Amino acid sequence: MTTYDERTAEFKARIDAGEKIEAGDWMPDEYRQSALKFIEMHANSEVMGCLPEREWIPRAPSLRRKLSLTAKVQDEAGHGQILYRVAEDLGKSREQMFDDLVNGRTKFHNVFHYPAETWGDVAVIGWLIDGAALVTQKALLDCSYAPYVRAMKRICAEESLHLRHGEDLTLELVSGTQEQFDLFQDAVNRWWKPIMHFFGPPSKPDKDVLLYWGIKTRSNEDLRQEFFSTYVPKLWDVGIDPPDPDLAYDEARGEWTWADPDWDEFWQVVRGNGPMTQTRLHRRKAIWDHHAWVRETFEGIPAQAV
Amino acid sequence: MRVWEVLQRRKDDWEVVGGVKAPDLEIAMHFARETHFRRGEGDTYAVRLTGSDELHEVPESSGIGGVIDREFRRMDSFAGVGGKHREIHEQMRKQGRVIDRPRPPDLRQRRATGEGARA
Repeated sequence: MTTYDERTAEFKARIDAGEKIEAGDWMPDEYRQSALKFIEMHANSEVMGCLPEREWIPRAPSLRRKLSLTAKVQDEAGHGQILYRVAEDLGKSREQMFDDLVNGRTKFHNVFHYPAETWGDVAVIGWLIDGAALVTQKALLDCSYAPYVRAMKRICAEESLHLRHGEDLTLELVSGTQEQFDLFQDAVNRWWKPIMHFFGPPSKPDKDVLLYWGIKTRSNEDLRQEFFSTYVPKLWDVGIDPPDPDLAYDEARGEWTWADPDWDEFWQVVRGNGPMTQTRLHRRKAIWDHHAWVRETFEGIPAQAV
Repeated sequence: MRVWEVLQRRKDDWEVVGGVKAPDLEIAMHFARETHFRRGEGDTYAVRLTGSDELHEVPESSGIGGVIDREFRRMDSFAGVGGKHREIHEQMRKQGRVIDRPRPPDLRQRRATGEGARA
């Protein structure tokens, strides 16, 4: 008879050999729990990520911008739906995941805990935050969990479109009036630290359980370096300077140096103490409660039938 | 609620692209379309109950992605963004506003010289 440890070793060997795991396959508890937590957090982030941009739909400066921003927000909500479906198969119901989210028991990405103060913020979210997300999401195309890979294929295709949308917004601002240029620079100044936080603290790859199981395939620092190489030159090209005096490309070492930001703020934010955390969760809960009748109808239970 | 696989067909090949949870076929078709085919992806699509072999193909695939003008959803509506970036960069260079600091070799250059080419 095969023991749990032997099955786990066989499973690990499959992953190390590059095999993909399907939802119905046997998997060790640690793999299931790690994948669930990671994908649930990703799904939460897609859903919560709708809110900062959604706030700007009524205030978009033109009909075209309003339509493209609306379509983007719809895409993000769709990503949430797709990812909750993937997470559900790992053993937690969608209802429980939503309940945990709106009651602050599970996390969502740090960047969605901050306010979107100006139209410049919409450009930063659309280009740099979606850009940061795409760097991390493309890396997930190599994930060991096959249903997640299928979801990421779809999501990355849509995020590539969002990136164009965000870059287009940015170019309009940086090539416009001085006031528009300043609006974007100001937004970059306020968002730079949350973007650095987005990749997570430098971690020890050999201690990272997600890397061990092939759920993630690249380290936080590796992804942050790719972000710098892709986006910092593009910002410099159009005269935008990220607010980090230490940010520089070290040609001899072939990597970027940067000032380690205040990680206390990061931990505060992801634990639910960000500037907009409670407002956004309250909004999310209001939407969830408002649509309860849809779920009840689907379950075949007449809403408050008496 | 039942779990349905969502399949997409391009030419002759069906491929599982995801799943939806829905109480019946009609709603499963609707959810599949809204989550996976808003942009007319593939030639047609179908759903099948998990564990079943029976494919339910959408009766009218011409409506995939919507029938009204939704150019803002499409990549080509942002065609030329790269060119615009280069143009603005050039203008800023003439005005002396570009931030000129060491940067990694351009990806295209690296590809051309073989440096950074993936094995």
